[in-house]
Amino acid sequence: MEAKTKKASFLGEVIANFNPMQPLDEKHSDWYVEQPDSPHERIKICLLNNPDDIKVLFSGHIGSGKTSTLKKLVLDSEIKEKFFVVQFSAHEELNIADLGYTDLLIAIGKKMYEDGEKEKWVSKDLNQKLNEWAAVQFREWGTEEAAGIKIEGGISAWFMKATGLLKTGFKDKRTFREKMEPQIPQLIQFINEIIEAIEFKSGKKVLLVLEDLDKPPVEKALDLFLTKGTILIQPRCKILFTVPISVLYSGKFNIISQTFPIQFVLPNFKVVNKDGTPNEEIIEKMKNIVYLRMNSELIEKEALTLAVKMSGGVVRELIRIINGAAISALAKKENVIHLEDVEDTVNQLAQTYKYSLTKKSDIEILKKVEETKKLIDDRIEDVRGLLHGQFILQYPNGEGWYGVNPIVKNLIKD
Amino acid sequence: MPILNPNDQFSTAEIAAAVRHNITQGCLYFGICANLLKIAEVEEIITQTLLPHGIKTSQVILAERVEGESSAEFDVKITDPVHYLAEKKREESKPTLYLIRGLPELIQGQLKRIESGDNQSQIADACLLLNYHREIFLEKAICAFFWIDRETAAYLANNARDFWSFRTGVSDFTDELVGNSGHLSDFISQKESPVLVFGDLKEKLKRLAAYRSKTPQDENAVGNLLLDIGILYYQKRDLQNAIDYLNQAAAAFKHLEENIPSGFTPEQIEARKRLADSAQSSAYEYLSRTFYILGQLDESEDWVRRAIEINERLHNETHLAIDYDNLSNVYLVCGKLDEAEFWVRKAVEINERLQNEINLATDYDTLSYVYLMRKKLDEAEFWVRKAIEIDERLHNETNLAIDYSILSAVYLKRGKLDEAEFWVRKAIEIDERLHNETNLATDYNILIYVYLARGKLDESEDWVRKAIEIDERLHNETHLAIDYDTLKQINKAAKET
Repeated sequence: MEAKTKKASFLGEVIANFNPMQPLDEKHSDWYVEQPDSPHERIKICLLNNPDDIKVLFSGHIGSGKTSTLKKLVLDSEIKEKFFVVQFSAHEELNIADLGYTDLLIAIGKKMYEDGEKEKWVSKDLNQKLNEWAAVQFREWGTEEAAGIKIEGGISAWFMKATGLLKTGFKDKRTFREKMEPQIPQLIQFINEIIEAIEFKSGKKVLLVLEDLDKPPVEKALDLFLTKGTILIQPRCKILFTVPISVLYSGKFNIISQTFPIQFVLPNFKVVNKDGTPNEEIIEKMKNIVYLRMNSELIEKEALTLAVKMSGGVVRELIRIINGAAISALAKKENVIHLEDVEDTVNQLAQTYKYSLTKKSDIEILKKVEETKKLIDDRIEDVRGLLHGQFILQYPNGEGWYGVNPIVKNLIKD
Repeated sequence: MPILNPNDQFSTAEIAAAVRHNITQGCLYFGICANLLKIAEVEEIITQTLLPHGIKTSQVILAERVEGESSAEFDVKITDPVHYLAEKKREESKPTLYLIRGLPELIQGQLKRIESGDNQSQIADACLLLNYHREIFLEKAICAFFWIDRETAAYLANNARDFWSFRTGVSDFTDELVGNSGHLSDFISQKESPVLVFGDLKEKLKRLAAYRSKTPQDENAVGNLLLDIGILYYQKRDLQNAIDYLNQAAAAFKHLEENIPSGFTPEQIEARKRLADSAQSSAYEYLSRTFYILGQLDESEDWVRRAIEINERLHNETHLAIDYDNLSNVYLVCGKLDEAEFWVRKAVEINERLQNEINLATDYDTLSYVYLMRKKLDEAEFWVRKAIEIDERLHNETNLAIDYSILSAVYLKRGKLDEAEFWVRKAIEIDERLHNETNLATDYNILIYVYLARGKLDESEDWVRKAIEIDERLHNETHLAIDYDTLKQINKAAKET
């Protein structure tokens, strides 16, 4: 594949190429380095070979590369050949601060309809059925405006108005949800008919990728999957949901996993072995992430080794460390990243972790994890918080084990 | 005026570097500070550092909307700070860094309402929304710098993890300010190139020795340290040392450019040459200024022409405009007004096109001087008033003092002594407050002529001796020549009366 990105040849470009906000989309695909234990291939095989309308949970630490992995997956030629991919971002369509399952289903229906209608795959009959249903909903709504557009706008207008209300409305939202609740089975039926229409016309199966469900607070995400999981799995297509990693550590996850038995976790790079020795092979692989984005002359070898080790194998942390070290070097008017630049950046990062480390119990938990490499502690909520905050890193390779983030280690020493 | 301690200076330089190189993609930076004075200081330095690169700053204050109060009083609705920034950015024509205050207070206010049961959510709305809409910072390439405190940092880290994970950096500005021993104008001068040097001279000399003792030498690091040290000596007005180190820096970069290790790819060679050239031009620019102060105008012209040759080749327009203006000043002092006008107009063309307003104001001043020396006073006033408009709007006090000084000179030439005295006293007030001694000496010179014109010879002599004292201390030979000439005129006038 022709490279679409330019390797940094001076430190200013390093800062631009190592932006912690930037996921690897199509434009940056040649920077992608697959984790050795990445579930990417397994997810792909699962989607391609499983004949059922499976629902898959996909998780990983913040900054582990979930979004980049998903983007790579949907661009995969085999996936594109077999599936009509409907990508849906909850934050674009809805107010995730106040997200309910009704909202989600309406937004899914809207997206499915729009994508199908764009290709002119939704039949006249189905359109008529949907428009008639929309007209009834508008009458139920009972607003003057609704009455005015009941014939002209049809189902499109209804979807627009509904998602608009759910995104920004306040008082009306509750009333609307209450009125919609009895209509949910019908809505699911319509979603399934649209899916069927798309599959019939395109000759492909529908794959729905639902991003941003790892953004709501853990309690909201748990509520969605726990209490409404059986409704969310009713659309008759394969669905890939992203979930926050702390959901997997919730005491209720065993219940959730009964509804969602297929789960994949994107692991961090295992830069250190369980016994504490460095994993040189993986360290070299992580260095490759850096060398794909910048000229090797721009960083001292020992500086890069330190950056990789201190990242704990979390890709975004490595990106942030290199970015910070480049900024530090540039501010000193140097042209190369030196070891001290990485050290200074790591110290700064340690400070930011320190702001959140105010409870004695957190330090106790971290010391225990460091000693045992296990996550056994009755203080479930605190443990989940430390995991989600990346004070504790999971390395789910083989039997899996846990370690304290290398940047945080010095903070918990006596 | 208080100045930042070296750590804070360095942090500020880091922030400016991060913003410059992320301006087209967006970045999120946080500053931990509650000291309003320091916040203002840091914002001022960041603003001044970014302006020559065509990046402006814009202050945003997040505020809770209180029932019954006009929404026009507040910059943002609490419901959606991210979309507000996106909307603001859409309306901006220039790349902008948003300096955002008020987030800690906003979150605290929302948490209080949660505690009192007014809100069903357990997390502050502002926090939730920043988290959920974080990708908008990338989609709309928003560069935002949030002022927060440590508690807010911890709160965001725990409750807006994805948003917090997007951060480019966090700088802690909670150290004390240094006392009133310096002034901002030591670091920022309108005629300086956009190269700000911070740091301790002794520390840099120590580092230079350390780098020089390594084998093989890191030529880049050595060259940059030599340049920094030369600039620091220039800023301290230790001009002989400045010349020595700047010459060494120029030689080091020339060597770097000419000695390419084998195995370099063409891309690497080009990058190395560009870096070396750019650094050489900075050394030449400072050498030019040093010789200008020493009154050695031929050398000054020679060095700035070398810088021009490089910057024209590199198409480095911001630097080029500064070089053209400095060359114009050399001709101005030599009395070659046509050449002075030619070069400053080239600078004006670039800075108007790039909207580099601070540098443009300096060019307008130079053009005003040209007309002043031609005795075309209406044109002189026209151009200096254009400079005043920019500098008042940007609150650029150092340059404003120069503008007032020039305007005073215009009125002096018109014989309007009261107006002349009014404007030069405004300039003196600023320059005394900011300890801008070089400019102060120029102001005194104008005041001297006001008193001379009024026949007040004793006061004139007092002021010229004050100017001489400053210019001797700063080794400002060019100005000293003017001071002694003025003293001669006063003595001549005294003999005639």
